Amino acid sequence: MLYLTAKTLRLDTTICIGCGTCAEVCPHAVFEIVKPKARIVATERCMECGACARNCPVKAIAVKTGVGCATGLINRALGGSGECCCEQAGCG
Amino acid sequence: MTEGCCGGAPAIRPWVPPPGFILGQHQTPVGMVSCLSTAWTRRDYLGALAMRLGIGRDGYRVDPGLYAIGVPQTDAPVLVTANYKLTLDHLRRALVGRSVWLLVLETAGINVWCAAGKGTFCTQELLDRIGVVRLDKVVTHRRLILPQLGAVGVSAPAVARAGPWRVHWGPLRAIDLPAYLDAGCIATPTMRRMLFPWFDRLVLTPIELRQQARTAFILAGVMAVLMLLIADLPTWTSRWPIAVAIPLTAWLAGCLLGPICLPLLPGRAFSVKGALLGLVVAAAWACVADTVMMLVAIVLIMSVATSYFFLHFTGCTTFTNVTGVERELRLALPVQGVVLLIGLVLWSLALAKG
Repeated sequence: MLYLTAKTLRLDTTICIGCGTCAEVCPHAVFEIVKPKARIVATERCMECGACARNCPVKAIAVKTGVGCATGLINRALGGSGECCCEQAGCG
Repeated sequence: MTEGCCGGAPAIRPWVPPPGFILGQHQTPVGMVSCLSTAWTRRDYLGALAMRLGIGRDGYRVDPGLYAIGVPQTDAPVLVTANYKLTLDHLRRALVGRSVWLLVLETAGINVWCAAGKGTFCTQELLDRIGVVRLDKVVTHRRLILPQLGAVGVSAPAVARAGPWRVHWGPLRAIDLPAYLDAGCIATPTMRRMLFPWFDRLVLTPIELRQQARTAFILAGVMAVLMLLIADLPTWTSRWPIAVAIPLTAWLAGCLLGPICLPLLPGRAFSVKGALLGLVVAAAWACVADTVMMLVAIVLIMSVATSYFFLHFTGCTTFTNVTGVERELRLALPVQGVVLLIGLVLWSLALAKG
């Protein structure tokens, strides 16, 4: 199942050291390690969770993160708290 | 437990472990910790059901801190998790026959993935909690096993810079933990891939239905009132259930049928998937339309309402991205608004003619 392709994922291969952390933490196998570097192989599966960027030891990855939740975005647009639908443990 | 900091907020009730949750106390070099059962009681099953129905979610948490499963010694693995009781229940049930330490972080009773996204399952809370429970005195190693989804909030490099502790990323799902541990903390690719099978989608539907219920009933009210004001009395008396049933059918389609049939719905945008589903469901209502105008009104209203309700499911999936949802909303919401308006105008005109 695919959603609209995320457009904010960036990998700077000049900084990348090919450690494999991004491939390890990504829940959608967006990255592959083709030594000595990582490579984005499936942008269309990226959900912009930010796990890769947060854990890259050399900060070679950037992505705009947030919760892909229409309810929260609509709330915020209406001047609300922007709190996502799962104000508690609803999503899981 | 923390008190409300702003005066008016009520204090969180002290957590009382339910019967059967704690088996006893386990000795550690820094004192006793509670040893958790790996079995679910009837209360745990009812609690899981309540969570899926959205009942009592706020209080379904445990105290953060260190717990034992089995008889862990100073070399036993340390598994880190959130203090949402349902998370903990799934975790301990997967550890039957094992001896491990559980380090439970304070995430305000929210599951790992959501808490990581919100910033409560984070590097600082992890480091603080390690200090509070004096983990360095409890185990001789310095390895922490975190759920993979915790990577959204915890930075393994930052943990490494702050001290001797090293983060190892465990599998996505608790049920894969035994295999992961037996393999020497090695995960297979399957353990690292997030899927969204039909059962995982199904359990989200009660809460979806609840969250969209108000909008659905308001729309039903609007359509019923329009019929009351415009149509003659015999029409109103015999056909008002249709005015109510159309939006409620869209509600069921968008919040129940849509999630279940997600892989079958064409298109990538959820508003499109929902609209197509609404179109199909509208075919079932075609028979109640006695004029072409009424038929078009029903088709438009059903499609746009289903589209709107299904759009909200984006927040429950495991694969939607935030910039994509923003792009979708910018186009979908205005279009839905216009189409709904046209639909209601046609509805009114059709009632006036008939």
